[in-house]
Amino acid sequence: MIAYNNGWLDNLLVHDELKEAAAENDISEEEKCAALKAYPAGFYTPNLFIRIGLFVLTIIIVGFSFGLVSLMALSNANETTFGAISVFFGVVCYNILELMVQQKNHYKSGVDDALLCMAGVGTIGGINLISNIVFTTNCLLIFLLASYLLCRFVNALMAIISVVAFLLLVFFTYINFGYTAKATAPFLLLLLAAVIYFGAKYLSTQIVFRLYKPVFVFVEITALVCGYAGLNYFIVNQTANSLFGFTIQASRPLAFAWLFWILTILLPLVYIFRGVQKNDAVILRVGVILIPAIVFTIRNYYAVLPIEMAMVIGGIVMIGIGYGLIRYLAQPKFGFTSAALANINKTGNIHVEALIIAETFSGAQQPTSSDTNFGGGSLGGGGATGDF
Amino acid sequence: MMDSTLFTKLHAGGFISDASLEKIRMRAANQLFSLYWELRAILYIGVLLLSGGIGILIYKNIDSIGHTAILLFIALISAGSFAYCFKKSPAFSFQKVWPLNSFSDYILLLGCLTFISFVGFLQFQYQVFGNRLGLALFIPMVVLFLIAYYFDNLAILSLAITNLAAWAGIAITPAKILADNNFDNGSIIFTGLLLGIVLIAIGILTKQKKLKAHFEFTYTNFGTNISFISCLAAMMHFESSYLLWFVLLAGISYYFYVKAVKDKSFYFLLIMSLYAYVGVSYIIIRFLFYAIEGDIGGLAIACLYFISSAIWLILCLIKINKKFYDSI
Repeated sequence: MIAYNNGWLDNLLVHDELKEAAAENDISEEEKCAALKAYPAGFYTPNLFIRIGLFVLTIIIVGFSFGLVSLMALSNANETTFGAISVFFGVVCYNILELMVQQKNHYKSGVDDALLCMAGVGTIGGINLISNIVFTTNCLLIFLLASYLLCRFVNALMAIISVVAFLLLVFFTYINFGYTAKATAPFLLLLLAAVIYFGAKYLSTQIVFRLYKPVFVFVEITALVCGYAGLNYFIVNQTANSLFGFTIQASRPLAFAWLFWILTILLPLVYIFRGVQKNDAVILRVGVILIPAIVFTIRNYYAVLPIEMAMVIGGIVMIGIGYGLIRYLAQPKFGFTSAALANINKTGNIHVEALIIAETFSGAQQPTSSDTNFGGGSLGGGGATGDF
Repeated sequence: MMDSTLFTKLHAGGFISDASLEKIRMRAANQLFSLYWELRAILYIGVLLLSGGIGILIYKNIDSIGHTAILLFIALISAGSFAYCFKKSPAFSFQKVWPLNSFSDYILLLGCLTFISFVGFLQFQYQVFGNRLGLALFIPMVVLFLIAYYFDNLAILSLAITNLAAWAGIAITPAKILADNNFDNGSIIFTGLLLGIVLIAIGILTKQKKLKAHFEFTYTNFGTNISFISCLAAMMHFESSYLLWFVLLAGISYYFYVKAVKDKSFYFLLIMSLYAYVGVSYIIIRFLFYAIEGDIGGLAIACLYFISSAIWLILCLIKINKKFYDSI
């Protein structure tokens, strides 16, 4: 089923474990090299930056080829022609992708990623240009295509797209069944998300599906986030307003509002609890990321505090929690530690972190730099103190 | 993720020693779960909220609370943060120094941010620096550089460099470099180019003199991007002398190509290739549409150019990638 060489993919799993063990100094470098040789993987997988470059360039090639062909068909240009060309390109991309993967052994090389995306976008985009299909049909098409590509190429993006398309398809089909259906739709979504989450968890432990393990993580994340989104008070309120054709009344209370409020606040906490209980990084992180969603939802309806006080207090609380946990976990407890593990690529991450900090905080001093000062500023380097 | 069955198999195959297998089993039994990045994220958001909140607090209450009270409040937070870091941090050295823990990193960041607010407030309220607005940016910048070196903190160094750029009149961070700068302006272009070259030069010195050699990447990274972008902007802005600027672009590209090959840096290889590609493509497109004024035919040739050049560049990148790996 998987297009890539399955034996090599298995060996890559061995490589990961060996590299981790070597990073932790459990095995020596010689042992690692000897074992790596015994489990060869002949994929073409370049460095991450080369992968990005190849991705961009492949998109350029496909894009301009599309431009060139469209140019030739310019004389009788209409939507159908462009749609047909687009579908044609989608199919061609898919075939080149198969060729690249099977003949040239490309695996996560940027070329296969780009061709995969273009195959999907070309086909779906083209079909939409040719005929005016409705939203649910689109969801169905996207779901089918993305799941096929997911099964064949084990791609994380396709995993996310197929879960979202599936949930949207069910949701928009279900709400056609009248008032009760509309009212119960959020719970159906939660139920489905739970089924998908536990299904992915179960399957990822099965040896048959071991090669899909990395994408099951993305299926889990998407299911957790969608399950929460389906119940979040703000989202439910907004959706309900448009579905039931209410005139816009932002503060109109929902039926069973209390239930949605409880779930809005409770679900992320349940995620965090489950993550801590099971030592499961995925659900724990999703839970932590959803905490701001609780805060924003509450603040949207009830202005508890002026924003600046909320920020100051929130900031102090967060720093306090961080400090407390770092102190508490200085010696590992319950399998948790605050220290970095050796297999984390420290230096690379630190550069990214530094850039994020510079990006978010550099706005603070911008206002003082007025344009008038600019001319003198650049030569003021030596003169600034001298002038004084 | 540890699975000792694999290693048992490897052990049976004679790939790993008894001692190694024992270590693996020990670690698999005491599997630890690291919250390192989660905790850093919490501290980051905490500092983000707190410093932002204080900023709004000052802005809203600038007329009601006493200025001295506000000033004192910010100064206290800033001084407290710095005092904590001075007490906790390891001794200064021009080598790499690892901080004690994530907490002191972020307290240092809080101290720096509140210090910037402090200086900004002094200027706003009391015009301490008079009309010399540059000085209100210059002093925090110097302090940030000193702190970055003293505490060996890359995040503060990045802040200091952005401050240096702001003082020169340029926004330099990834998302703002194109959005906030008006590159259709000669003086911005020259400033950007000068700043880029200065930063690259500091990067070279940093590495040669071994003064915090690991800071080199940060300097070079900011320097490379701003000088490439300024150079490309110059090509498009100074129409009459665009070939001259192209020669400069080619020179910078060649320098970074040699550097990337020497340091085996895939990152610099990628950005150098992409910037150079934009430059070359600009020349080609310009030639097609300005010099020979090809319309539909020109468009077709342009498409053919992009297809063939991108294929060529892909082959080049694949070849260099292989060369780098072979020589490691």
